[in-house]
Amino acid sequence: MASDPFDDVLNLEDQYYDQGYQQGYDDGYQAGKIEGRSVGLKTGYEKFLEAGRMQGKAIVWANRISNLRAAAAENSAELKSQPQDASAAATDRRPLPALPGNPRLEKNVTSLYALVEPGTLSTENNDEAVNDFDDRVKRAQGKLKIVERSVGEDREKDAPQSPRQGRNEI
Amino acid sequence: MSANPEPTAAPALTVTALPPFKPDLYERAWTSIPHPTLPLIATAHQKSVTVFSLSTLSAHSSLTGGHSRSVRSVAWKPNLGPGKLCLVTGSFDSTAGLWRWEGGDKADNLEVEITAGGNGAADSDDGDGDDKDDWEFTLVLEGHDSEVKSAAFSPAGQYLATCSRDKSVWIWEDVGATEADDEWETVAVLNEHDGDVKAVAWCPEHNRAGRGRYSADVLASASYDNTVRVWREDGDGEWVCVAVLEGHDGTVWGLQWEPRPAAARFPRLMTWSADRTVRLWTLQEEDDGDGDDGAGTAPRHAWGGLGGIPNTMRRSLKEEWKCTAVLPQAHTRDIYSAAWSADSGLLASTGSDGVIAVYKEEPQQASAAAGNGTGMTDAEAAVALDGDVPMTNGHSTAGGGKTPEAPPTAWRVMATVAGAHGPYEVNHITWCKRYDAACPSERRGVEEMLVTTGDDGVVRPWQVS
Repeated sequence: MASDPFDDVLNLEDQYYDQGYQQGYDDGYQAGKIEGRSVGLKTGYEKFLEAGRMQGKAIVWANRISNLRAAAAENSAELKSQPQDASAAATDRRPLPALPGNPRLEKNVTSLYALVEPGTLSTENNDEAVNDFDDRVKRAQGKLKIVERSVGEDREKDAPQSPRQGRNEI
Repeated sequence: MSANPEPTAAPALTVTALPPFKPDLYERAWTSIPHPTLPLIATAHQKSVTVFSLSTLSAHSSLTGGHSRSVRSVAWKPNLGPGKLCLVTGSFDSTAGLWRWEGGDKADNLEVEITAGGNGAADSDDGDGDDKDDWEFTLVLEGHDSEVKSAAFSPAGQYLATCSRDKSVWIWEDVGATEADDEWETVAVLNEHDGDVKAVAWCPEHNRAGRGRYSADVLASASYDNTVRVWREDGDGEWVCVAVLEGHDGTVWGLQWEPRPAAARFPRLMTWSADRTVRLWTLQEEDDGDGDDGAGTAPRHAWGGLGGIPNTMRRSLKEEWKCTAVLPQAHTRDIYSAAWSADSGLLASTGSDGVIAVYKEEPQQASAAAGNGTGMTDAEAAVALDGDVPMTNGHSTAGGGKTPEAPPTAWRVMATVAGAHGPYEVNHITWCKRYDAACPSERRGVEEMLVTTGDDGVVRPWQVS
């Protein structure tokens, strides 16, 4: 049948449906990209913030342990001058109390630092890198707890937790 | 209650109820752990623990007041001197507690008479101090973020492991100057489970020394994330996860190591789960076929000499474990507890459905094992699972040729008892030596019975014959 001239007019709803679908899809795609990027940035920032926080703590502890500080002094000629300056500045004012350096504590602080060492944590977004990062951060958190306990810095966390009421008293 | 013996060729077992321990606790009881050598058993219920004497089947002493929430697990400290008792309690208040009792010669005396009645509650003990010297709460172990589910001492008593709903396993080391000094230091915080960790268990001492780069202590943990992890301490004093055992389809409620493994083999690991199965896992060991001598052979792969590599690089050095048996299904609901007897090799399980099941391992005579013994039990497991693929540790089963030849075995249900605690769930089951009056005196300390602990607060012994 010669319905060609009337095809467009008779199938208007299809056309508008397709048009609307396409618009929705494109809008969704855009919004998805924007949201994905912002969530990714947020998560990445939080993760590296956590890692950096642990690294900072490790550096402070390391400088308080005389053995490790001596080791750092040997490397002063090399890369970082910041930790040296920081500890020198600290000694000018009021030095933090030194920590007794027992071998286990030193080992824990060293491995904590090694786990979150800047530059070794990959910023790639593939599965392997993310798993590696998560794994190292989790282990570093474990080490952090151990060092905090042996240094005695976990006390302040206990205070607000005394009324530990559960939902049911069983 | 008598059992329904399985109609089999081999003589079936009968499980008969014995009078329960007195007094009834009248509150949910969670676990009963017999002392490794003395005739005592400790039961955790509500916020306290009651120690019963196995010779009189009545209360000996109690531990009260140390925890603000439910005490869910108990473990005896091994290798103490005579007349001294030490326990660790794991509680839902996120702490573990160490308790000591020094009652003179009372602990050794098998014929102790308990005069002070008491119903196991705190009031009869406080201030009396006559027959029942109270337990002393000596140390609290804080650190977990949420409920502590289980605590266990290592075989030598040097390490203590605790696990919690916060997905971590903590390992503590005894750093006290003498044994009587309770001073424990956190040595490891292991965060690698993805869910609530339900139980931890140390591998009993065995004649296989540390495998090259690892020390002899081996810890296993079971979790809500359906996996079991095996942990060892490496040369640097770092505790690392050396294996992840996958295969259960539900929360793994607990685990126990084989208490008396065959001579040259590493102890197997028994796990039980919400998926209503009990599984046995065997370490796939690489050796040159001669079997290992007691001294422990050095690992024959390339990693042997790499002592200096930092731990971030060493994660890939793992062990391989395979699920080598799935016990025939005897439960219709979650299995909360199982126990493997060191003496008889019998295995008993119980759980939410209130059923006690006893299994026996028998060498398999039927059908020639083509070559690999492990292959046969894999087939058995496959049949039991209706053709499902036997579970491995993520490795292919093809390369089974290196494992030491284990004689093929099959497990059979020897007895079941339904409604062991009436309509109540049974939370724990354990094998325990008999010392009571009804047992002939030459069999005391030799014959074994089962002890179940239920939501009805009753701790009931069962005779198995």
